Amino acid sequence: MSCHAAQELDHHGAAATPVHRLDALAKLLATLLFVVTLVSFPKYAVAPLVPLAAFPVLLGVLGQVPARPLLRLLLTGLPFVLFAGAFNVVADAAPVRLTTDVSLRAGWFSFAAIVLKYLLAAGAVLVLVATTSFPRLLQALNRLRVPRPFTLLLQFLYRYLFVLVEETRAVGRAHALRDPHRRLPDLHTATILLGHLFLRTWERAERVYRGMCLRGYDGAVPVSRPGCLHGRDVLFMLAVAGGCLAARCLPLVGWLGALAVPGSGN
Amino acid sequence: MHMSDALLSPAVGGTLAATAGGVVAWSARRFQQDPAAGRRVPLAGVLGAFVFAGQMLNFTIPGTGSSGHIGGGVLLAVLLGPHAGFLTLAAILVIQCLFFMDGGLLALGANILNLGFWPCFLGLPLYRLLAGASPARARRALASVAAVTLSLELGALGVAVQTVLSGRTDLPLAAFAPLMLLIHLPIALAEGLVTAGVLEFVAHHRPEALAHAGPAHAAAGWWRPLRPVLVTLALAALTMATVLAWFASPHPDGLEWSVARVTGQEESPHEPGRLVAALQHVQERVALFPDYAPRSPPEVAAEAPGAVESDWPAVSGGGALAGLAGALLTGGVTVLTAALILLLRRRRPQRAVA
Repeated sequence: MSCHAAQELDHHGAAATPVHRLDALAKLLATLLFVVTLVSFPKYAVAPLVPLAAFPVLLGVLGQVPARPLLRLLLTGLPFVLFAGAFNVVADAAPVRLTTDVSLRAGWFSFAAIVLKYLLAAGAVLVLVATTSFPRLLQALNRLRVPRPFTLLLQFLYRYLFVLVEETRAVGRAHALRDPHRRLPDLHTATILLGHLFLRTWERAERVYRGMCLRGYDGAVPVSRPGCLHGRDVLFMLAVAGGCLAARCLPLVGWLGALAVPGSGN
Repeated sequence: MHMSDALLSPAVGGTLAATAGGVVAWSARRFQQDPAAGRRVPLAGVLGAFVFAGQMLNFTIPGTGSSGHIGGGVLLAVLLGPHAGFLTLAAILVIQCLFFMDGGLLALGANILNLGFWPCFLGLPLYRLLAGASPARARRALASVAAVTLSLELGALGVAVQTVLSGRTDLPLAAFAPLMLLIHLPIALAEGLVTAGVLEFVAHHRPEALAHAGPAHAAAGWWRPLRPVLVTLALAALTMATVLAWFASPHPDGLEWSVARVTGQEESPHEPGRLVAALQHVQERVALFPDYAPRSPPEVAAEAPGAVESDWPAVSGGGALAGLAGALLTGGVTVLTAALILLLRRRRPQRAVA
């Protein structure tokens, strides 16, 4: 289930690797710059996207991000992108000659570009989440002047998702104990159960919130130490910015290719 | 209905992200000014969690081969008010984007506007107008379905327009937009009925939740929340016009294309009458931006339909092969570096995971 995959990546946010120790704001800004660079490539550019794969792949490996949940989550979003891009293959039939005998429809290029952009952008975001705990990410948002009420709601939504999951498991267990022969309740019972699940979760959430307020909660994101940018964070951001700029503006792939296949310049 | 980054261009995505950021900031300020804000936080969190779970349930729409999911915007808006509802939906979309790959990072702004703006600022006034203070079951159902339909259809139209404007797919607006609008009609019906059911349930068990959700705003007139809607739309339109115009395609627009297909020429072949010629002369003298470009030395004429685009890489036989080889090499270097890092790590003792 992608829920377990998401939870596993979320837990990994508490690990201790060099990537985890980078400041959350630096990583967030780097990821945003990466995604903007990725999206700025024109419609048919496929090969120039490949050098950009270094960002998510290297960060993921250095951050020891577990590969299986990451791939599982990438796969969940893939069908929609495939559907959106498939039309390109059908509609765009202009031929592109690769060699004297082989030619492809242009639609394949734009389709491949869409799929590759999705994989790289989604991979970068998942690596960001897996190498940065959620509270630190929210604190980075606050430092970016994202309004406090919004990060407050994000905190509680995140917290109450787990409350909801626990209450749902309790209700499910109670139903299974009373009616072991059915896996799922019938529609009428399900509606009633859902309604009462909502009320129970709401009441528990209010108790949690009241408890927090009584203990002095004022809306600030609870982190052990405030984030600040160190030299290594600035170096990291400069490296990512330089890499993105180089990948976007320089024909790196063309140069390497000209080396590999001599005499095949434009 | 969540858009992926792969379908957006930086101009469209950036504009929508900036607009969404503005609306979020404004909503946050209004939410803070609300004296009942603190009481609503737990309800907002729980409702957000429910809507989040609800959005994960895709149900197939018979006959179309596609599936849909509930938006939940109207439900959030009715129970929490427009500002808290909008912020909660935005929070749901942020978590879906970060943890579940549902929607891209750059597309967050677009998704927040498509899924959150319409229900909270247009759907809610419509619901209040139709439902009144404490409606009977049928009236509440009708109001919910109407509000949800309006919100989902506008959101679906937004997705189609933004995808086509970005120019990354070849989906034509003429086919894409009606398809999106049609698919979301049964989804809107289902979501409207579910929303009405939930509201009935809350009205029965915890009527105070509905009592403090909106009477102050409802009494002020259902059209009041429309003012910020109009301002936001105007700002978005202005931004889009300036930013997107830079990226406008050199290809002839739909009308010129149709004309060219029919007559074989880009513009009308008829000789202009005397009045029209005079007006054209005046227009040429006065226009600051003839053909949407600043007055400057004549540039290369727009290409005929079907010609190769300027952003097409110089694809010729050898060039494409070099590109392929270069891509394979770069990919190989990345993979080798990653493998090297993994090998080196295995040699060293494992660091403890905190």
